[in-house]
Amino acid sequence: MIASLTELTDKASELIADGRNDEAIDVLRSAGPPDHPEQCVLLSRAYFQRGDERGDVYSSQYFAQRALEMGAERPLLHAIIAVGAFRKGRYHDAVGAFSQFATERSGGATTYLYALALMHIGDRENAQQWIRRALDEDPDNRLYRDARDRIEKRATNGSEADIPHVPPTGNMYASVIEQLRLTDDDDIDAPYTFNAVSKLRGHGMAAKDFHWLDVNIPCQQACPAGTNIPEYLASIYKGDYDRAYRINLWDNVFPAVLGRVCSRPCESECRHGWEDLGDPVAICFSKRSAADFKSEARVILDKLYPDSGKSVAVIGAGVAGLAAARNLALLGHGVTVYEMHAHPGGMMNQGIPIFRLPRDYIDREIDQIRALGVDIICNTRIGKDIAFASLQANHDAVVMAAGTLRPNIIDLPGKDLTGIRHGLDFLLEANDTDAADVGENVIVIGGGFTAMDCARTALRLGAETVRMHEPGTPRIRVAYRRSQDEMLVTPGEVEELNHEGIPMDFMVSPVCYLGDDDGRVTGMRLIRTRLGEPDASGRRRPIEIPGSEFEIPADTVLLATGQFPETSWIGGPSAESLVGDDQWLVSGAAATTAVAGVFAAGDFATGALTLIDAIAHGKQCARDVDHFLTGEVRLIDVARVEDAGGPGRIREMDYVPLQPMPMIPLEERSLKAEVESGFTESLAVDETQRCYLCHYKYEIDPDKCIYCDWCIKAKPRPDCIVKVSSLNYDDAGRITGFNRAGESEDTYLIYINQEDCIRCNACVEACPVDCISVQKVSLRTATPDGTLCGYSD
Amino acid sequence: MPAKPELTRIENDKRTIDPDFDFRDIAQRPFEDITTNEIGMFKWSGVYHQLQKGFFMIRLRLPGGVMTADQLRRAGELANEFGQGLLCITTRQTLQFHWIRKEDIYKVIEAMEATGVSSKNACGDVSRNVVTCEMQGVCPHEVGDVGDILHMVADDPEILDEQRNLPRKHKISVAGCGRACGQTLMNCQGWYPVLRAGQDGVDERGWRFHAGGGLGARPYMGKLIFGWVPEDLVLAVVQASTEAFRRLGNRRVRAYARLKIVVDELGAKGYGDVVLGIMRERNIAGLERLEQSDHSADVGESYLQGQRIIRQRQEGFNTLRIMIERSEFTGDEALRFADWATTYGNGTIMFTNRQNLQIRFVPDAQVAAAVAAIHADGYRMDGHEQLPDSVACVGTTMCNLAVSDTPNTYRAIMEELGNDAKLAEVIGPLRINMNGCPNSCAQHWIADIGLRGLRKREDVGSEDGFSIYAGGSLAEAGHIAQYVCDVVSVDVVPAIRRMLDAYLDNRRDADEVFGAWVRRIGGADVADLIGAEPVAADSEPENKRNLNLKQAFDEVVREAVTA
Ligand SMILES: Cc1cc2nc3c(=O)[nH]c(=O)nc-3n(C[C@H](O)[C@H](O)[C@H](O)COP(=O)(O)OP(=O)(O)OC[C@H]3O[C@@H](n4cnc5c(N)ncnc54)[C@H](O)[C@@H]3O)c2cc1C
Ligand code: SF4
Ligand code: SF4
Ligand code: SF4
Ligand code: SF4
Ligand code: SF4
Repeated sequence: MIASLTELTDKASELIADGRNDEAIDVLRSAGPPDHPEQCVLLSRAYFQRGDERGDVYSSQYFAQRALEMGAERPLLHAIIAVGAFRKGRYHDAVGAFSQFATERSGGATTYLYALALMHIGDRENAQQWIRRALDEDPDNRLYRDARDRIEKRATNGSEADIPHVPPTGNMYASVIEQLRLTDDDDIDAPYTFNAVSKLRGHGMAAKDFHWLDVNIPCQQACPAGTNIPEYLASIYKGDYDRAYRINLWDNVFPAVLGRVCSRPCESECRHGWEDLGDPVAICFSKRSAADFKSEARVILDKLYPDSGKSVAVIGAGVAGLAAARNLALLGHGVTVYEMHAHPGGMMNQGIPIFRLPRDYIDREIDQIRALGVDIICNTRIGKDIAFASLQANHDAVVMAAGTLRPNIIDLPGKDLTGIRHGLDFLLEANDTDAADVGENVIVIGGGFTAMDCARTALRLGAETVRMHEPGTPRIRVAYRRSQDEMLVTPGEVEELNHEGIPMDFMVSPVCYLGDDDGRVTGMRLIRTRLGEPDASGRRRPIEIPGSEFEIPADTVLLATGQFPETSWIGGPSAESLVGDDQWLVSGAAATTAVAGVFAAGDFATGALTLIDAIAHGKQCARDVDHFLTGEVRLIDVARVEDAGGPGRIREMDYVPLQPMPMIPLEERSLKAEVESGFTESLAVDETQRCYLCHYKYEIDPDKCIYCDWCIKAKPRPDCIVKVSSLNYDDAGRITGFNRAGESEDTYLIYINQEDCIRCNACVEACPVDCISVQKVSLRTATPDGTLCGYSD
Repeated sequence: MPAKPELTRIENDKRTIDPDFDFRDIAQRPFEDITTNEIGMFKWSGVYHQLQKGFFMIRLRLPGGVMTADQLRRAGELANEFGQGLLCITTRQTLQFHWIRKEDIYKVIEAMEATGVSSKNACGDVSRNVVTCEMQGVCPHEVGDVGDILHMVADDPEILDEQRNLPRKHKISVAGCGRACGQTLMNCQGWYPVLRAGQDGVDERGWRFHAGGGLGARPYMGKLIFGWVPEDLVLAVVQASTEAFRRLGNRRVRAYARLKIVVDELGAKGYGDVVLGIMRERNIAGLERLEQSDHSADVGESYLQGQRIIRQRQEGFNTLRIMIERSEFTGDEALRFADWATTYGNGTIMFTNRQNLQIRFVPDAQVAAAVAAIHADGYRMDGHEQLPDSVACVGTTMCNLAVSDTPNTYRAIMEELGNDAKLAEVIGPLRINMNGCPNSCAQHWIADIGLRGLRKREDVGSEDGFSIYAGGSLAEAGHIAQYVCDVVSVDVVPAIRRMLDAYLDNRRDADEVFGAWVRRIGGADVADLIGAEPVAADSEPENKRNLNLKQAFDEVVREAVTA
């Protein structure tokens, strides 16, 4: 036994020297119950080296004591006991232990700590002696010199523990935060800079509040219109479709439309889609179910202000113009919308095919705007039927929301052959007449919304009118210069294209059109490309690969190569100030223009983007117009902070998989049959329960927290609760990060790092002192007196 | 469909892992191959993994807290052989071993079993060791002898073998009478006997049944459920109440899994109805003899008020109360206690809920000799239920839930206050209990002064400290200690001193004990009385020393190695 014990202790010593403490402990234990002094000495050492974890300090001391009891006598043991006692503030014990081993020849650290311990028990004389020894060894050591100074200053009688500093306790029964919360006040400032938002209750408007919303509700931040996504998902989950619809209606004006064809920038940012957390929530499809299942046929919002007597003309009844019109009407202004097309809706009905967006929904949601008193005059082209200048003369303000109707013509040899047409014209014809001649083989050039819709529409037209294609050979194909990753389309569209059997040639560039003697197009020559280095916009430009040219036959070529704002209709004196040489507005993407009283909204200002971008822009435009008309800011954004119970979810909901959208089978697909048939009510519940409800804020009351770490033991995420030594702030008081605490003494706060929090409630359930509050923080629009707009709490 | 709650990990373990491990087999298996789930289920055998990986704690099951000298001797030997010579008395009147290696678990368990003491159900989600009052069996106040009932409950096969998948731990107390010594109101089930005139004029013994007491992070006092349970129905009620807990306890959130939450939600009447319902389901006859109560619990003051030696109801015999510092003793001491029990008493030892021990049945003639021997070996018998009798949990030393270092604070209190006999005398009864964390292993909620560990945020970092509570008691309908203030650890002793001074200055008269005084004026006023003085200026940065000095600490040890 002794022989093998020696072997083991040798082995353990080696491991300890390498800092492999746990292994050393395992080895030592394998020798039998630690009842040999040598075993205990090494265990003591290993636990000491192991660090500050709970139990380690104790274990190192315990085994040091055991070793001494068993007769081992070694400076190491006393040193470990001395340090342990010192750390606990047991200075008498520390002095006792130091006296067992410290000598004049001991190292600087030993003599220094010994001196400090002596100082604490009031033995100045000896303390001075020992600190002098430390300084002899290392005269420049800052710690030693500080200690010397402190020892000099120190009174000679009485030990530290005799100085009571019991804090005043007047406010300890309820923490500062609890006391504030107890009041009836509905507007309470948060008392600490490290509070997550500036209010304990009420409407926050500080930079940190909006920052909180931005980093915590990533979907809402990504939605250009700032839709209160978690709140409407929660409403759908509870079966309150009416409220869910109203939330959307307020924020994005066209819920039934967007619930079908929104480009869904929110979903790619959804917290549920973050690493290790699964798939994003189907936010868009859920929105649709709110519109599908709501009980009210028509939802008319309440006006926010009485009639102002002002009148505004809006040019273009696309989503941007209509969104601006609606909000201007809510603000009390008279609005007339002029639309050159026979129907209002802009690209909603001129571009997007019926099989993606049945027209009833557009009409119904436009009708809700009309009901607010907005006058929509169709078949009236500004610049032709009515002069721009006369609008300016007859209205207090004019909003230009004319979209992007000027096609981008790609200048290739053969561009005048018949059979080559712009995709938008094609779609307009198809949407208006349910027909268009495409022949047998169709090539679509481009990779955006228009390209996808051209291809799918052409397929349907072919199926209905031509019916002659050879099975097996693709009649329609889409050619795009970039890769699939870089396409700007609605998620899922490319998959649908595949599903419907339309091949895509990525990374190809058109070279020229091929034609016959009658001047009809017969095909195209294309060349393959590869991606070059990223350009200023971050996108990588395609570079042609020499010798990779190839040809494909075509009866029709549809160009979906982009479109720009058409500004030529702006006549009169303002035109020159408004429009630059490049035919774009000189005011860029802003809603205000170079001419007072003239505003721009949607794609017309920003260039071709998406519906939700255009709507958001239209809303902003309405605020700018209102400010122009009234000279006041009459709508503000606030971060509404309210007390809440838990979000009412269970952890199992986090593991529910993403619900796929039900679709009609291929054989039933036609020009008019809607492809996506929508969630059933039960699917809507399945899906919406997945949302973490990121607008819930979990926050620890630092005055009540006792730092027990129970929440940390219960947390599901690596960094949702962290021990921090301090937080980082920027100049605006926004919390920009945290610094992890090293040792427990360093821990200033147990901090919920809300960016990593998945709102699981585990910490609340674990906390023994109920110091974690759950509140709801929502981005809301309000009037300056604090009245919330749009929907109730 | 909204997602359905699934079983939590531990609930799943409880259904899938057989809690009766073969520890001989465990001894053979490499540590890495034993899953954490299995280690979790060791508790059902009384085996708990320590904070120090690879070392285990073993807790025994000792219904009623009584052990024979032979059993204690064996425990002492085993501690010496396998457990660093350490034994620890628990607040549930039993013993535990520490520092046991996985390879030695079965040796300890088997050897104790050979003496008739098992560790089955000492931990885990089961009915834990059934406790009683400290004087049960010898107390002059005991209503008859409740030992039979206690053992009937503790050893009932349904409770012991079948109800092993409760939502969480379940605690039963069977007291000798209606006084607070039996801790009736802090157990899940609290029982005490009462007498009333029977039909034939002879007094009949029946029982009062309380339920829903429990301390932990959120303390509740037990409620009186049945004012009268005929003795023949006691076991049926114990079983039905256990079954009620099995069915109704919250199995999703362990913090809310205790019976106290069920009873709090249902109320005394509602819970009584549930228990009766289960008894009906089980076709128990005679339920009409059972009386539900709409009174609040009514427990008398504890009989234990500092006595050193208590004259037993058995004429001519005495119980000697020996104080054990911080509940720990060594294997050698165990042998010594066992010797005393055989030499001076009847060979039994009682472990108490204040973690001390008794030698019982010491004949009058032997008392002087016994006391002399006890004192000669340095043990104290005075100071029970007073300052020196403080109770502390293991704290940061062994427990991974702890926030503060309770043993260290315990020592500070003992050194600075505990040895001050004069102080103890003027103050009178004063039970100080301290916990390192919000759990209530050391029962701070029911002490005269209770400390609960915390860290206190400072200007930089934070410091080890305690919340101070005061005025807790298990008498009457029970009083949960009231919050007074938070202090850092070094201020615990000064704060207690101030509280005691304030008490002496402000009490009504010498008969008003500390606890009564606190309850009269309230924790807030106590805080005002002690917190009036300003904070001392020289608040030492040294306690954040571990930050600045970490390197120096390591250096000291390195220097010692190379010296
Ligand atoms: C085929 C296609 C499919 C698309 N699919 C999607 C999609 O799925 N999801 C998505 O988010 N976005 C999609 N988009 C983009 C989206 O439709 C536009 O970004 C959005 O419609 C822009 O709205 P707007 O109001 O600014 O302009 P528009 O919708 O273009 O509306 C402008 C309106 O102004 C009218 N007008 C123009 N000049 C005059 C004038 N002089 N006098 C009177 N009226 C005038 C036009 O007739 C039109 O009605 C698609 C676009 C196209 C072309
Ligand atoms: S989980 Fe819900 S609230 Fe959070 S980002 Fe996703 S959709 Fe938005
Ligand atoms: S709710 Fe609490 S435990 Fe859950 S993720 Fe958020 S911080 Fe972590
Ligand atoms: S559980 Fe509560 S008290 Fe404990 S550290 Fe977390 S927030 Fe603080
Ligand atoms: S007085 Fe106390 S010790 Fe005696 S029987 Fe009653 S409860 Fe038990
Ligand atoms: S009271 Fe807390 S710190 Fe103390 S032993 Fe119990 S769980 Fe651990």
